[in-house]
Amino acid sequence: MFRISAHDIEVKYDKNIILRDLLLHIPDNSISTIIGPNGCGKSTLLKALTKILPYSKGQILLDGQALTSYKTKDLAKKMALLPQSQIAPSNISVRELIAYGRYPHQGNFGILSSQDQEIINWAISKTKLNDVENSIVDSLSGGQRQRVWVALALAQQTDIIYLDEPTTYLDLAHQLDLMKLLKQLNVEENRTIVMVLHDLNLAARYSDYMISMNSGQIVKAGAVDEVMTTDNLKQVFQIDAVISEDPYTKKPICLSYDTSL
Amino acid sequence: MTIWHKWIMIFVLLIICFASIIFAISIGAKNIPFITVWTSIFQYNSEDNLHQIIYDVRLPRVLGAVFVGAAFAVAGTVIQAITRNPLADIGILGINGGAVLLVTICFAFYPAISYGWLTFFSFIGAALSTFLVFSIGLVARGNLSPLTFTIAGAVIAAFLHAISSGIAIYFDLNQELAFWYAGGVAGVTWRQLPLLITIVIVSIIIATLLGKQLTILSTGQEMASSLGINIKFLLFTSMGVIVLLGGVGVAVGGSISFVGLIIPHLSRKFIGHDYRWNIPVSALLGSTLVVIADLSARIIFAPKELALGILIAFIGVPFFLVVAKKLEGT
Repeated sequence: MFRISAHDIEVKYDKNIILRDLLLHIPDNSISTIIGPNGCGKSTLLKALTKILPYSKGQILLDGQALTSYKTKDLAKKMALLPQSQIAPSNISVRELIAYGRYPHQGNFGILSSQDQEIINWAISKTKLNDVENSIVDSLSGGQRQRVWVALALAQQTDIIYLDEPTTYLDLAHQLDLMKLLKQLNVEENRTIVMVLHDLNLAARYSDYMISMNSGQIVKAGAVDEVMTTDNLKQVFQIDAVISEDPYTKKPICLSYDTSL
Repeated sequence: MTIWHKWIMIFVLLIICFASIIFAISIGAKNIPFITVWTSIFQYNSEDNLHQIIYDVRLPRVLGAVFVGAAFAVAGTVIQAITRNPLADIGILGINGGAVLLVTICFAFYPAISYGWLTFFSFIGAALSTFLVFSIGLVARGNLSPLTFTIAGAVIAAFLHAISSGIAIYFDLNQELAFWYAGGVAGVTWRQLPLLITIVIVSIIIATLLGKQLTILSTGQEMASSLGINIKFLLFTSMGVIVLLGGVGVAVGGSISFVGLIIPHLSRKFIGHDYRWNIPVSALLGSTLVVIADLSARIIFAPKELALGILIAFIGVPFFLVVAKKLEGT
């Protein structure tokens, strides 16, 4: 089933149309990844799906209701977003920052209950931040910091998690750790995960569903082996890709590529 | 910092603020013992000469300083929170510019205008220019980005300032304006206080209630939005609070908005990034600074008085530098 769907939406930024007539269904309880060249509207799509950008035409539905009919705070109980860039307030501790994730479930003045504290503990141990929970966020390494933001999204306890290029600034091992964590959340807790990734092989390895975009429209969406094809990648990225099979995962892998003429 | 540390901090600042108020009432051309200050407030005797001095002269002035200080400090804290710009103060919304323009027009066309009306018009000027900055920001980009406001504010402020200067030169008003612009709470009377106090207290309560949302906003608009914060509502309400506080502050105290630049920094150094605590602490620090500065303005070259704005710069800047240095890296 599809809890999240977009029907012929148009999204404008100032007067430029970024997304036009876009139709999309996100499969529930799965990992979906949006891929596409720079400026194709990937991030814009994620922002439209999370109600950060308004859409001028069409409709986005969440659980059968128009996205626009939700109050921001009610939406924040259903979906979390890890934006492309985040700012940590100076001198804030890891634990304090993760606690912000409880805001949608609190009163307006933000008093933490003991249940909130338990959920924060859970988010901290899931992201293996126990050793640094009282450190200042600014003092952490890039990889740890990214895990703090993931923990914040986890503390929000939403069924749906959106992530915009979550592996940027992470080294190879940390990228994989993050993907494994997302996979674990997806498998063990049935969370629906939707993300934008630049790394095609990482996307192919961990996604159940891939959405390839170009010029504000979806070129092809479907299972990994339907999207990771030479033809499709040529159409989306203007590249000639050599697609093979990953010996570890048996998933398609882009072995090499050249820009096509 | 635990919650108890924070409460102790608030308590200590409250005592310091209260002590500075008592000092400011008791010291002056005629020094009045503390005990008399106390009895004049709680057991006012209209026959007593000292009680009359306190009630008619010193108390309204000190209360003016308390609430003008709190107004500028909290306005500064809120504007730094929503623009996420540590150098922002109410000047960037054109609040000063609008107030000065209307005051200049008043001086030019109604030189005999009463102090009360002057206050009223400078408040209107502040509100109008903020409204102008707000509308231009919205029309130009259709969104509420802090950068748009900063640019619109800077442009409008420069524009209003140019008009004011033109009028001032044409009507030869520079002396009157310089006096008004230097700021001060010397002329505050009981007639203005109820409105000033009501606006400041209500606005500070609203700002404190927005505290959690402002804190979360410091992670960026997208993050805050995905955490359930209605950005438009938060920005509109915050703007309202800033106009009220900045407008009433400029109207009563003149242009001493420097308070709104340094107090938010001190407050952050003292109590951290959580605006639920930051806003009340700013209010207390702002009150204390302006009360002490106004007291110094009265007594340093008595019987002559210095301009409040100058004193605030003299006290505020070194204090600011010392605290910033001392607490660096903590």
